[in-house]
Amino acid sequence: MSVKQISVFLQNKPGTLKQMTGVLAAHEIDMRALSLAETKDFGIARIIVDDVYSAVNVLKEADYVASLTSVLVVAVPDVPGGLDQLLAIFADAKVNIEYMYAFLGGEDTKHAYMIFRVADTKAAEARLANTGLKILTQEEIAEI
Amino acid sequence: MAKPKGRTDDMLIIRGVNVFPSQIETVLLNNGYAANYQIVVDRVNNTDTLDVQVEMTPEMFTDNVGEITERQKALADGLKSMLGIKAKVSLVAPKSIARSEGKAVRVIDKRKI
Repeated sequence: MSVKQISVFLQNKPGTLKQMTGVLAAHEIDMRALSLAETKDFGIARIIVDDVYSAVNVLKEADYVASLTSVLVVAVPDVPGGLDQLLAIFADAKVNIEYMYAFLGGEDTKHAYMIFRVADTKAAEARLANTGLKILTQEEIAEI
Repeated sequence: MAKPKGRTDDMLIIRGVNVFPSQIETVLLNNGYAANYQIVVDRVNNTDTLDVQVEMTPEMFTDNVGEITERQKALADGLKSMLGIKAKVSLVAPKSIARSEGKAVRVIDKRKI
């Protein structure tokens, strides 16, 4: 059920992110979400795309170093306290979140989508199984 | 006699210390980096600086920023113990360093004598 996120190594200087988005644009790859982690001299762009396979291929062809990471995409009700409920489940289960980011989903205005990177994706998934919260699959991400 | 460290005509003198590019190469290989590197020597506030630029490789890359910075630090520590002077390690994009066309391209000395 987890979704593949592509992590791309970028140098921390003007224009490098644009170059990467340029490669994706040239191959008509649609991004669903993006997050940047940066240090003083390099950064990692984390992206969720509609077509993971071709995105990785075109990035490799353009000499980018990229890797795939499993992340959980959860639809959180867009109401006050929505995220709080979800985090309470994770806290109870002692699920440690390494990082997270969010995106709003197109036509679906009732949910916000949170992307979680956790140490044990399977265990976190199991905890969410009977809570009524929806975990998105790769196919659903492609269709948003 | 001490073991030869490299050719004297490759030797750089940085902060009064003799530095051989072959020493830097050894440390890079020991730490699992590719041998494609570039040494930038400059002078900032009358002190020589040594910047070793290494290309990121798929083997060295992970999604974890902390892990990459730790490896970067391990490499900087390795360089310091090998050379005896502090060196800065910069990770650069793959294929951004010109492939070797003779030894000159490996070293960029910006110091003005």
